[in-house]
This record gives sequence, structure tokens and C-alpha cells, in this order.
Amino acid sequence: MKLPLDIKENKENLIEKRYSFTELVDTYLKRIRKSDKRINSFITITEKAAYDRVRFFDKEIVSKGSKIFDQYPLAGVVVSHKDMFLTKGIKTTAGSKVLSDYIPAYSSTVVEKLEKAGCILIGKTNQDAWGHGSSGENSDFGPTKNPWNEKMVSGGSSSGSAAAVSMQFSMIATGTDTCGSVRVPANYCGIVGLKPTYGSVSRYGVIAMASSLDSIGHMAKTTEDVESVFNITKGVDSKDANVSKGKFIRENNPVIGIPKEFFVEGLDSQIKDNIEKNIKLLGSLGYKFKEVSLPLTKNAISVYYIIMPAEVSSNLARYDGIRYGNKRTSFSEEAKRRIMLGSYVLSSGYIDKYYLKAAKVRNKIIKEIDRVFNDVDMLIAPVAPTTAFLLGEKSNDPLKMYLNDIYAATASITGIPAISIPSGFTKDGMPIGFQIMGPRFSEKILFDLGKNYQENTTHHLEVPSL
Amino acid sequence: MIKQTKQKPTIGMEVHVELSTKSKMFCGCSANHFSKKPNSHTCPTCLGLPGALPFPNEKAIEWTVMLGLALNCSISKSSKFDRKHYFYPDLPKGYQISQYDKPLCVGGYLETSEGKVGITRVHLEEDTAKLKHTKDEKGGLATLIDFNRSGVALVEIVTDPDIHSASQAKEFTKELQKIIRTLGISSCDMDKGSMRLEANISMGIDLGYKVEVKNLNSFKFVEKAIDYELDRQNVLLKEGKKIKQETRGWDEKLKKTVHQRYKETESDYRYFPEPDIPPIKLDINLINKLRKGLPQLPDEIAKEIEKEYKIKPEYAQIISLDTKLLNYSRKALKIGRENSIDANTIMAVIINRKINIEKVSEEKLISLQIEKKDKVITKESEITKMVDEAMKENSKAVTDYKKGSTNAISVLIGYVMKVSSGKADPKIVRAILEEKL
Amino acid sequence: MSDKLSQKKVEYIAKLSKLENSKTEEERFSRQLTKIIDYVGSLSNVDTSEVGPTNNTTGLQNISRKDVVDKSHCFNQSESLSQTKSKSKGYFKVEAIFEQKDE
Repeated sequence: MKLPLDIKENKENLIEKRYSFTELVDTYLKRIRKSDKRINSFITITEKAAYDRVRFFDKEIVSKGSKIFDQYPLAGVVVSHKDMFLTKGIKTTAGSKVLSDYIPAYSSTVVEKLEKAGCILIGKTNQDAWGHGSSGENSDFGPTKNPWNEKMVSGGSSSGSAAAVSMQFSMIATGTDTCGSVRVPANYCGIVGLKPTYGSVSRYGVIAMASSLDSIGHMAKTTEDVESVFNITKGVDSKDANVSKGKFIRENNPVIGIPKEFFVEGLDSQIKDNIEKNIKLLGSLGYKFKEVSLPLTKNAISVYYIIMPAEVSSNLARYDGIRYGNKRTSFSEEAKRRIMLGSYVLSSGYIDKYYLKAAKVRNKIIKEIDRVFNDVDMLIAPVAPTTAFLLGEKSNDPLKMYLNDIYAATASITGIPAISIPSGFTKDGMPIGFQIMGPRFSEKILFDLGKNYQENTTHHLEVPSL
Repeated sequence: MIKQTKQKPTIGMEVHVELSTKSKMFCGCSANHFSKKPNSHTCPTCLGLPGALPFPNEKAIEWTVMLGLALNCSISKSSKFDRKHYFYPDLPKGYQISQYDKPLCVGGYLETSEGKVGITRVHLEEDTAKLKHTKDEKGGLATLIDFNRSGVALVEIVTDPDIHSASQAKEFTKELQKIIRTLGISSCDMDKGSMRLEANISMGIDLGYKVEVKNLNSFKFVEKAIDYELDRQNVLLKEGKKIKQETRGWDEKLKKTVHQRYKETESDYRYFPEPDIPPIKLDINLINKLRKGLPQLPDEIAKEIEKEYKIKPEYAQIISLDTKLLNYSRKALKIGRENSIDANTIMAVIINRKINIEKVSEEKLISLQIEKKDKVITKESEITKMVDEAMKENSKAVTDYKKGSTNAISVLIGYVMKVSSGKADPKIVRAILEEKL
Repeated sequence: MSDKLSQKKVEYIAKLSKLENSKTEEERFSRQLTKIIDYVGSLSNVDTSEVGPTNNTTGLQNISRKDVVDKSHCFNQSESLSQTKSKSKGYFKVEAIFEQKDE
């Protein structure tokens, strides 16, 4: 059977009995078994859990018909969770050997919310260990390959989630975006990736990378699906003190700013051309554009690579092998590098020069972004300097790899939402995309743009050959 | 005894108090951990599991502010939590959520009979797990960890180095305990571990060292340990020796402070603001509300009742610590005054005879005293008769007294009391006897 | 002026972070971390005289919860101990600690 493209189609099919819930899972699992050995998107495939759940739904739909969707709005939506999300009773590793056999005694808020909404968990996805990476190559379980070209990286750190959605191993996937870790792999794999406002979705039960930067993200083929998932996961949960509902007042006739500092040397020309073309397309859909200047954002990556390691060094201090997990000797090199970098920038004699300085520059950049949103309603920018690159190409030079995050950093350190939308392909058939950023809690206008754009394009409909 | 030297004993205290909130500081686990089955009051947050997050306890914050107010501190309008990093098995996250440079309360003081003691700061943090040292099955040494206490709300009170004697330190900590118990925010009990003390001791503020003394598990130990340590330091300084910055512990068996560790350099805790918890910006209205809501503190209560009824200060101090006893005493004293019963007599009965205030009402107590008073023989002529008899029957005592043994008078008083079945007023008896002798 | 992370410094930082490195790793980290610090050190050129540090983009303040016991997220003893590799009679067990806490 042919897998549905999106949630709406899936719901129709299930109501029309074109297939059962069980047949749906059969098909996904068949695909996974056929191709995931090459792609390596999953660390754990949760076959039993999936079948238990669909057995329940197959019974429910017999007695309740389409009414089950009133209680379970996402019934039958197959989901993969990045292995940073704790799933009770199901192995959760964060992509690291330190947690190679860790079975959590509780589930994250997001996992619980999606399950309650009717999602079917099919597996825990591969990732750069602890979220440390932009390519997927830092996984302790082997890198995830790009579905469009297996010699290329899938992007990271939510590498497996992006590949899984791209390969239709699941309908939707979760990820975490601390500095592009949802947007970059979504971009490299040709799907939609949302980094929502920091503090819009609870982080409780998601393994922390950098506490003031981690944003719970969602991936799917369509903007509409990402929106549907976000509507379930967002909101206060009394466990994460940084979550709030937030207010946003939308303006009519939105104007999109083009930040000139994001389109300088170093950006791949195919990406630059693609974005320029799409600016014209969006213009024809009614969006106005304006050039803006964000001179401080060039410091965003340095701010990030001071604050993030500092918070990482702290968040990874709990892994001592006493209450769970393996000893600290199981940390891989990248984790050690970031922990030490973090301890250094927080250490006596250096903290003022690095950590405190970065925290001040962060404040300045936040103010700069706040100011620009008095002028425009959204910002358009590339997601990364290039499209997916070859496995091994950047892995010997940590700094080079870190600079891959250069366009993602602004949204991360300011906490604003950003959505990555597939917008074309390179000459070599690799996905290209752009990101749209907005003020805090402005997800609605980002979704509107994405839906509008996807009604008028077909890039998101492309599927890599199995 | 401290010999007189040029230096001055300089002591600062650090006190940790477990707040008796229902739930822990950053999670909803029960904070009532004393003697519970190990690791049965835990959750992802206080166990430091992956993905767990802290959520501060509102009551703990309010109680810390109340304590600060009771200690005459300024309450910070802008405060926050910070992470304090170090590795130890009783610290599940590898950091403790505490307060660093913006504590809730700063700059207070407490009066003692030996001078004012400045309070540098009062801040809020979380407690660590409990460690137990033991032998394992194979006979080797092991350490066992119980996380029931992990995450319990803890207040830390730090004093300025304003304490200058062991007795002052003892008085200070007793005062502090009184206040905390009156506020009702902690059992503040050293036996239960809900009050823990440390002292930083040196013989002068600019001598370049201070010795940290731990294991001060009772008021007695506080006094003994400080006395010992001041002596020890004094001797070393007189010998011209340099005193190293170190941590020592009081050893009750050896009756001395014993070296534990050297502390050459400060630990690098890599403090940074806790990103999981938004900052605290206390509203002036809340602070005023808490200030107004403070109960009357022991000192005030004691002074007030002492003044009103002219009772002995010791009695006033004792009842100022116990609300039930206080209310009972107040009522009894009021009724007593209306019936001309001596206030201290009433207090003596209440405190020394340890009357069961649950069973004997204030009215009953006073009526018993009235009865006793009425029965008291005060008529001089009657007493003189009995005194004469006593002197006749106890001629040896009379002779002894005249020889200079003034205590012999009690034999005579005793005789009169016996003969009068205890009803003679002993004051009058004594007065008459003294006159006759 | 750029800070250098010598191997000795790396050794100290590793100890502070409770990590172990081989001599080869130490040498490699020394090079890599020095390069990264050099790059991020460019922030010293940004004028921050008129701004304070921030670590929270939410703008929230005074978030706290009522003092109630919430049993729904609490573990019993076996749940607490479920993932440890070393336990004894209801406790987590580690090698004997002789060192005093460094705090």
C-alpha cells in the first residue's frame, strides 16, 4: 500500500478503511527493514509498542468510527522520537555509549502528550551524541546517511529524525534544536523542520544539552503537519518553569526582512540563487520584502560556542554512572571537548572574559532582534552555508564543523522561532531550503507562510528513492 | 581560658537549616525524609535523572524572606538561583542549585549579651543526599546513598566574623534556633540534622587564615570546640608558628579539634545563573505582607511579659519558646494578679513543678495558690509562739548559729514549718528568728 | 590577546570536569581548544559597556509552585534503583568515600 503524505490524508484513509492501523504500521516497518540498514536512522525500533497501540485503535475505530479522532486527534500518526526524549520502559541513549542500556522510569511531557493524542511510536532515532553536532557524525552508533545521497551527511544533531521523515519511515518526528539541530537536518533531507519559541514546549523529560537554548522541535513533510503536532505539544505543564503561553499580535500585510549579513561570502551560490528566486515567488504570493541590517548577529556563533558548552559541561555533570548509565569514560571525544570548553569558560579567571561577556553580547543581540521586529514581521535566511556535505569532510576540524551553525545561531540565542522549508534541489539533486524567523510566539505567521508556500510548490512532495 | 594576647578571637558561623515545607525545594516529593525507607521519596528531579527540571517551592522562598526579616536583613528585590558545581556522590546533578551573588537576604544582625553579630547573608538552596559508610557483603568498605533528603529546602545563614568567644557563639546559635522555631519554619533540631553548624575561627581578621571547624552537633560541642580551637591557635601563634588554612572536626572522644583537610585554595565551583529557573523579583507588597505576618519573636515576647508581670528573666525566656506554655502562663498570671498571687510563685509552679497544663486549668492553678495563701499563717504573734518553741527545742542549733554557723537557722525554720504543717509563712519565720537571734 | 590552552591547562580542566584523557588526547585537545577559544574570543571587540548579561530569553520571573506533595511523579524504592548497576538493601552503593566533600 502507498503511504499517506500527511496527517490529513492518513486520517481520511483510516476513516475510509483503505487500510487498518495495523496495516499502516506493517508498511512503515517493511520500509524500515528494507532500507534503514543503509540509512541508520534508528537506534531502537519499537515494534511491540507500535503493534500494541494499533491493535487498540483498530478495535476503537470499529466501535467509534470517525469519532475516535475527537478524542485522539493524531490517531494513527506514526512518530519517531529523537533519542534525547525519554520514553518510559523504552531504551533512551541520547546517541551516547554512556546511556547505551538506559531504560527510563518516566516519559517526557512531549512523548506523553503525543501518545495521548493518538500517535504511534515506531522508534527512537539516531543523533549526534548529546546533541553535539551539525552532521550526525558524532553518534556513538554510527552516522545517519542522507537519504538523497548516502555518501553525504543527513545533518544533525536530529539526524535520524530527519532521515526517517524523509524516507517515510514515520509520518512525523521530534527533535531538539539548540543551534540548528532540527533546521539543519530538515534542510539537508528536504523536509519541514520547526524550531519553536524557546519556552513554548516543555523540556521536561528531554535530555538537556544547553538549558537556555534547547528548543523542542518537530519535523514532517508539510507545514500543516508540523503545526498540528505543535498544537498538541505546546503549553504549560507545571514541570518546566520556563514554559509560558506567550502572546503575539499579528499584523496584516507581513513584511519579510532580508538580513544582509546572512548573504555574504561563504554562502553556497546555489543556495543564494535559490533564496533569491523564492523571494520573488513569495512576493507573488503577497509578501513584501525589505533589506535589513543585523550587524551584531555575526557574533551569534561565538556567543553560542561559549554559552552552550558552559551549559553542556553543567548538564553532563550528572552522568557519573552511580544511579544510571555507564561511567564518564564512555563519553566520546566531541562530548569531552565541549565539556572541557565549558568548564574553561566558566572557570575562575576566565568566566568574566568568556561566559559573562557572551551573556552580555547575547543581550545585545536580543535587543537588536527585538528592534528589527519593530520594522519587519519576519526574517528570511539560509539555514546553513552549504547543502549536505560528504561524510568525513568536516569531521577532522571541530571549528570548521561549528561554523556550520552560523545561520542557525541567531534564532537560538534569542529564543525566537524559526521554520526550515524545503525550496528546491541542487544540480546534484540535494535538497535546498530556507528558514523563516519571527518574533517570540509568532509561530502562526510562520505556519501561514509555509502552508501558503507549499500550496504553490512541490519540493516537499519529492521522496528519495528507496 | 584564653590568655590575653594582642589578637582577638574572630569567629564566623555558617548555619544550615532544613525548612519544614511539605514538599522539597524543586520538586513535589515529600520533604519529610527522617527515618523513611531509603530512596522511597524520590522523583526524576531530586534523583538527577536525565531530562529532569527544577520548579521552585513558593513557600520556601517566603519562609527564607521571613527569616531574613526576623534577622533584620535587607530583602533583595532582584534575586536568582545559581548552579554550584562539584562532584560528590551525594550530589546527583553534579551541581547544587543554590544562590551565589544575589541571595534573597543580606546585611542583618542579631543582638547578643556580648555584642551585635552581623548576618552577611541568608540564602536558599537544596540539600544533598545522605551518605552512610558501611561494610559490604565481602567485608570491604562501601558507601551507601539515600536520596530521600536530596532536594529538601535548605536555608544557609552566614554571619560576619563578629563573634569573639565560644559563649557568644553558643548564645548566638541558641537565639537563632529560638527565632527559627518561633517562625515555625523548621524543627531546627541538631539531633535530627535539621540544624547544622560550622564555625570559621581565627585569632584575628587580618592574619591571613581561618580554620573551619565541623561536627558541631550540639550547643555544648560548639562551646567546647571553639574554646579548644582558640586555645590551640593561641598557643601556636605564641610559639611563632604559622597556622594553615584547614578544615578540622570536633572529636568528642578526644575532646579536641582534629585535622581533616587542608584548604589551600578556594574550590572553583564555576557558579553561573540557573537557566532552568527564571529570576526572582520580589514585590515590595509581598515583602511588607510577610513582615506584617511575622509572629512576635521570642526576645520581644520575653521582654514584654517580663515587664508586664515582673517575672524572672529565666522564666520569661523559657515560656517565650513555647506558644502553649506562653498562652497558659499569660492567662494564669492575669488571674493571679487579680487575686494578688505573686507572679514568680505562679511561674515557679508552672515551670519547676512541671504542671500538666493540659489537665490543670489556669483558674484551677490560681485557686490552689489562693487556698495555700489563705492557709498561710502570717500573724506575727502566732509565729512568734512557734519560733519560741523552736528555739527551746533546738538549743544546739541556736548555739551553732550564735557561733557563726548561719545555716543552722534552717533547722529552726524547719521546726516551725513542721509544727505549723507548712502553713507558716517562711519569710516571716525567718525574719522573726533573725531578730531573736 | 588570545588565551592558550596548554596541555597542563587541559589536564587541570579535565580534572575539574571529572574526565580522563590520554596524553595524545590532551595534546589534540590543547590544539583544538586553543583554536576555538581564539575564535570565540573575538567577542572582546564588542562593546558591552551599556548592557547586562542575560541567560533567559523568556522574560519570565517569579515562577514557583505551591507547597504541595505531588505523588504522581514520585518513585518508589525499586523504581529509584531500577537503573543502577550497584545497589544494596535499598541504597545506591559506591566504593567507600574517604575524601571529605570539597564544599
